Amino acid sequence: MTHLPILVIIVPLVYAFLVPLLDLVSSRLRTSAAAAVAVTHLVFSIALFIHVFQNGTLEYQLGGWDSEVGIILYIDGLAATFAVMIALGTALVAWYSLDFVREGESKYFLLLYIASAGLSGAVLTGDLFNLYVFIEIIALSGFALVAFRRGFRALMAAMRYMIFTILSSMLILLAIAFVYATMGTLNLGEIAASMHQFDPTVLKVSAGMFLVGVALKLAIVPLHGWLPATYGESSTPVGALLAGVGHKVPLYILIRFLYFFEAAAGEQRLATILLGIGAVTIAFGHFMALGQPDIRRVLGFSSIAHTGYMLVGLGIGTPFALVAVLFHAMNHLIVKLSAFFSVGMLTRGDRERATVLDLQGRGAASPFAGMAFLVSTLALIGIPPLGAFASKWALIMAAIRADHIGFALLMIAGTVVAAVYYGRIGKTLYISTDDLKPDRSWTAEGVLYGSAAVVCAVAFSFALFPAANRILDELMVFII
Amino acid sequence: MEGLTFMFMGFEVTPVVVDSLNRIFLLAFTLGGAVVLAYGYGMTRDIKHTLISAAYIFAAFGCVLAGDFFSLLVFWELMMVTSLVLIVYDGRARSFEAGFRYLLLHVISGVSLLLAVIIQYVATGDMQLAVPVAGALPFFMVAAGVKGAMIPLHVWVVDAYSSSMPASAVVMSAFTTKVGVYSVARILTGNMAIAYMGGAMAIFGVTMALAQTNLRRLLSFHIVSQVGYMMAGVALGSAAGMDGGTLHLFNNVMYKTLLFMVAGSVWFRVKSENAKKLGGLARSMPITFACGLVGALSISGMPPFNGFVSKSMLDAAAGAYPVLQVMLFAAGIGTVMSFTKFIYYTFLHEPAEDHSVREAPASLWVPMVFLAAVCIGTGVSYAGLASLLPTSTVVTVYEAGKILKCILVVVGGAGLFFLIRSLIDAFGRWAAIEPERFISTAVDGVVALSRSIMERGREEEVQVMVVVFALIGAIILFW
Repeated sequence: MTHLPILVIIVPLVYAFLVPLLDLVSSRLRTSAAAAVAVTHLVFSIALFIHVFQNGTLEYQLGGWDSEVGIILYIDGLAATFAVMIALGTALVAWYSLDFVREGESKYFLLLYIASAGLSGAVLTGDLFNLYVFIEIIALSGFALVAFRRGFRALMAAMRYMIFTILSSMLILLAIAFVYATMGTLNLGEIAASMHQFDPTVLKVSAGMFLVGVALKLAIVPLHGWLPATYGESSTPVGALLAGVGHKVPLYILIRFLYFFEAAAGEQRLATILLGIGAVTIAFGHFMALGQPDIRRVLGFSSIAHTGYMLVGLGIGTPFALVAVLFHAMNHLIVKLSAFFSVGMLTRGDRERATVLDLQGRGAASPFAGMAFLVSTLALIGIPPLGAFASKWALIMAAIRADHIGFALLMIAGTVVAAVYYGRIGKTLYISTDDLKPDRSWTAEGVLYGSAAVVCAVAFSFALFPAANRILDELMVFII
Repeated sequence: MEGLTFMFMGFEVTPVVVDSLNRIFLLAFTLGGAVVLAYGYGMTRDIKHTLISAAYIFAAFGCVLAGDFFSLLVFWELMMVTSLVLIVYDGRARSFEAGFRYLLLHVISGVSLLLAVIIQYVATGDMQLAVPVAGALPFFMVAAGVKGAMIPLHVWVVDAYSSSMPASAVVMSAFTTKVGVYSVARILTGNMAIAYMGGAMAIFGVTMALAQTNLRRLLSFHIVSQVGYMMAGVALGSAAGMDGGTLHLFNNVMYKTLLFMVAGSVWFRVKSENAKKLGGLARSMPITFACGLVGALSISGMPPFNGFVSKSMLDAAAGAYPVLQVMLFAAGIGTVMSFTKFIYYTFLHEPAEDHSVREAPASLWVPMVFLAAVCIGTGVSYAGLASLLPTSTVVTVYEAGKILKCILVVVGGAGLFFLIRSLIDAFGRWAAIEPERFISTAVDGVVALSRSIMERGREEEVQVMVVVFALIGAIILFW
């Protein structure tokens, strides 16, 4: 129990290094171990969450060294919540990949589990430098995963993803250097406690660099240039990983360092900045999703828009709004995974082409995948009783409680636009084409069915769970 | 309000409430629902279609039974999703186009209701179905306006009900717009703007209906018109208006469903809905003809059919507002004219093509005859039904003056139709635009705009410059 925090990071990492060895023994063993590790990772993360939930914030010193010289992990409610989201997302992606990835599985799983360790590490770490290290781990495995699909376009997308990620990492590293030069410490707790030492000029410059670095990773407009190509060209489970799970780390960093930005800009101005870029991101993301020919790009731009919702929630800044943001992030994770998974099932066997026209009539040909896609789009639009409805409700309620009716209207207008682009896709999926006969040869994939079904079920349960509100209330106390 | 209550998402949710207002809706929905399910199955022989229809009717019941805003919202959206499935059920491109436009308008309705409910909740602190606060009122109006087919949000009615398969149109014609009327009766009553909107809808609906040659388009415009009568009644806020409006709703569910069934049966045998190509079916389909006649006379307000009772009550209720009264009266004449057209061209006119068809099968005409009997029965003896109305006013409508007036309207309207038939045909050619196409054109335009923006600015250099500017911008913002 006492070593739970590090186990969450170590378990996937150990598996990643064991992959070549396991592969020597048998590929079956490697596959079943992958499933087992994904589940173990999830179980440990949930155990950690429960532990923190019951006993309060946890500080874990690696190897017993104290925080001045050693490495520490710092897990409070926020970190534990994100750790569960990440473990859940990576476990689902891994499970889905078991059957989906047919070539070079050992490399794929190695990279996937390194990314998984990096994602968990980034939210659990207690010092700034390790945060940077974990971000780099995520980025490096990310490039390789994007390029994994092979082909020129995937390589170009990976290249672009790399350029932007490196830019972002450089900015974050510079900001960390400024912080270290001023403070002489990298411990998150100590930095928070001694913000007053900061020279205002240095603070403002480093906050600017930090914000742009994080915004690049979050693909906030106008720094979203890498996202559509990356989602559109990478293989479906990788797209799901980046859109659903990879997105959570920069969001966590943004929330974690809100106080830092607040110190640099002042409370009022930070709220204005977040609300402003949030509004632009919502409008632009939804608008650009309209014209995309590739479904995965549509989902990518929809992710941008949903990031905008979360930014607006952070800009509103009330405790209720923060919980709404987390709730929405959770629902968005599940629903995006479900959408990507079902697109993967719809496009499978056709070299994963996913332009809307390629999919004409596919919904009728593979009914399960079609239904899963429709349910996820309905959830993304926010139709009760699907999960994302409840969180959209909470976000709009937070906006109206804080007298931001304009932002509530914007979110609602975004929903209408989302209905338009998902409606267009749904129309194409189900429009009857006589020449397309039901083809079950490439849809009868038990594991694919299973993971998509789990995701759909979870998407439902978030709203149907009668005690959801009580849990939200407790989470609110717990996280803040 | 008493009802089943439990906690959900932190609200006290009351999904089932029965009171004096909604019981007449429930009766109408029960009768109408049972009949359309039987008819729909008789026509499609497809249990899946019947199950989806049942889910849709369930959602409509949910809306009317809802005891709080939250339940109303949930069932409102459920009804949207299920009716969308019904519209696109046959998978034809045309149905999908109509379904897409339906989705767009009804999502607007759904999110307006969502926003309205949240504003209401934040302002009042509870979810009671109460008079909206000022901030929420416009959003409730939009939500109810789309569902209740207020001009210019009515386009989906004609679009969806004439493009989808006939069985789906029969099922849906009785419910969606009536839920819109219910929401007005429940929360927006006493709003004169809606009452006059109702009068305008009544006139606009019949005028446009007169111009149509497609049977289901004609009937769909009559939905707009008939809903206009109901809106005018329930929005007045007076006891007489509420009773007249809700009774008209009950009667309308009976005869309008009957008329849609008649059009569906004609389509079932002839596979055509173009009034100009039909004709002479009175001889080959006598039961369908008789039912169509009963429906047409009911909707025209001929005594002793049920439309006469509710129209007379509405006429009396609008007495204090002469403009509204004249609007409803004018719409009444238009109704008679357009149903003369419906009956004449479908059943009596010398056929343009030879249709040697049989009578519709029993699975179709039994529900129709049942509804025709209800139309006559509730017209002759309406006291029992009137006691179920919200304020249970029992007015005497069988007075010599009223009867004479209504007979005159029917006879005069029918005569006027034959008098100005060529004029109506000319108007029909002029008014044959399909405004719903503009929605598709507008959406395509926005999509094309988005696509053209997408194709610019993809160079890496440009985007790296954007990052540099963003950095400078961020630092300036923090300053």
